[in-house]
Amino acid sequence: MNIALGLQDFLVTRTKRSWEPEEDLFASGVVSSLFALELVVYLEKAYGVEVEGENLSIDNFRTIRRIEELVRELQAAAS
Amino acid sequence: MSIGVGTIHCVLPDVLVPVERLPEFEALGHDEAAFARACGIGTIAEFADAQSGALAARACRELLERDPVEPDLLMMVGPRAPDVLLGSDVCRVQSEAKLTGAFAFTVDGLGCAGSSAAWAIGRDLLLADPGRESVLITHASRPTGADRVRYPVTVIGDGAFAMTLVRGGRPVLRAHRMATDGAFHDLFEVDYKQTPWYEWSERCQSPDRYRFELAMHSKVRLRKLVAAVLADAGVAPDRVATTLMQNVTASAYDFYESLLDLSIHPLCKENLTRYGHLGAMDVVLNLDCLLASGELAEGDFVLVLNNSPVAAWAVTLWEL
Repeated sequence: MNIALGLQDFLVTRTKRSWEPEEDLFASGVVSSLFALELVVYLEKAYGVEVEGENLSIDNFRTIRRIEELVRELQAAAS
Repeated sequence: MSIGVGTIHCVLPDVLVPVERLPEFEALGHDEAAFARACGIGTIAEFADAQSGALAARACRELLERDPVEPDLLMMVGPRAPDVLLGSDVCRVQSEAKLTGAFAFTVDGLGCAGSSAAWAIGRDLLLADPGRESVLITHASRPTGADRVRYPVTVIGDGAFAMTLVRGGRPVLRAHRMATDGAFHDLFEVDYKQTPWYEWSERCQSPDRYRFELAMHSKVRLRKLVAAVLADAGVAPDRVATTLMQNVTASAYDFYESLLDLSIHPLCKENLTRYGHLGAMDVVLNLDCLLASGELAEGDFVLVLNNSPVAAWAVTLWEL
């Protein structure tokens, strides 16, 4: 599955708006703890990765582009 | 020999103040006021001008009137701000509660999770020395300075508890796990050295880091701690009758229910709405209310989650 497209679909469903690849999710004010939990759970289920420890840094989740990079890094590390 | 609860006594005021009538409310910014209105706290418990040490001593005295024990140890869960520097709040409690035979000390630096840590330490200290019979734990909740709204966390109420851990007490402390992560040690702070106390203002270094990083670390930590506690006790998840946690915001209950696939008992939200956040007292009040409700039977298991933005996490399994 295309990670960026999947993420875009998830975010549109949850926030009712579209997102640019470099747009700061946190600057928008939509990120609550529950939303953050849903986002991480979505990543873990959709892409078979486990996000723990230092990878839970907020900077890894600031934009669609950065999240995509994180997922690719985690998939590469697991393979 | 199992270790469990002897007696729990909670002290709460008759005065409940609507959040929107707090003196600071008019001065709150847009986001802070919106948070205070929507966080699920309707009123807060207020003991005007009370000191933490006096409230904790009162809770101990009233507990000892109900249950005259001579505890071997007096453990105070440290207040948000001590009444005195250099002096000793816990020894004030010892003096005012006339606990002359107890050794007094403070558990500190763990925020709300301090009460859960005190349970575990109390149990271990009783198990370590057969000569000890009981441990008295106490804490009082008061705001750090004059302000009660802690954006984006909660709104602080006043209260105090005292409880004993004794040999053969019930509910029995069946299993406990706790963890800390020092990386969050300065996420929240009050600059108390440069300003007078009535201007003390809590500063969150990064609300986004609080809402995201700490929340996600809580996801990982609490999942593991819950699994470890149940494994330690040999108890399957479906045997847990109910789960309690600290009272921070209404949305926090949704978060943890989603996170852990556990149902948080509704009395937690009722106490949040009525009293506000009572810090390390929350889980004790919730446990006391649950026991008083009589809805659980002997042998039922109660899971208690506790955490703080320090960051510290604790999970305790009690058996009625």
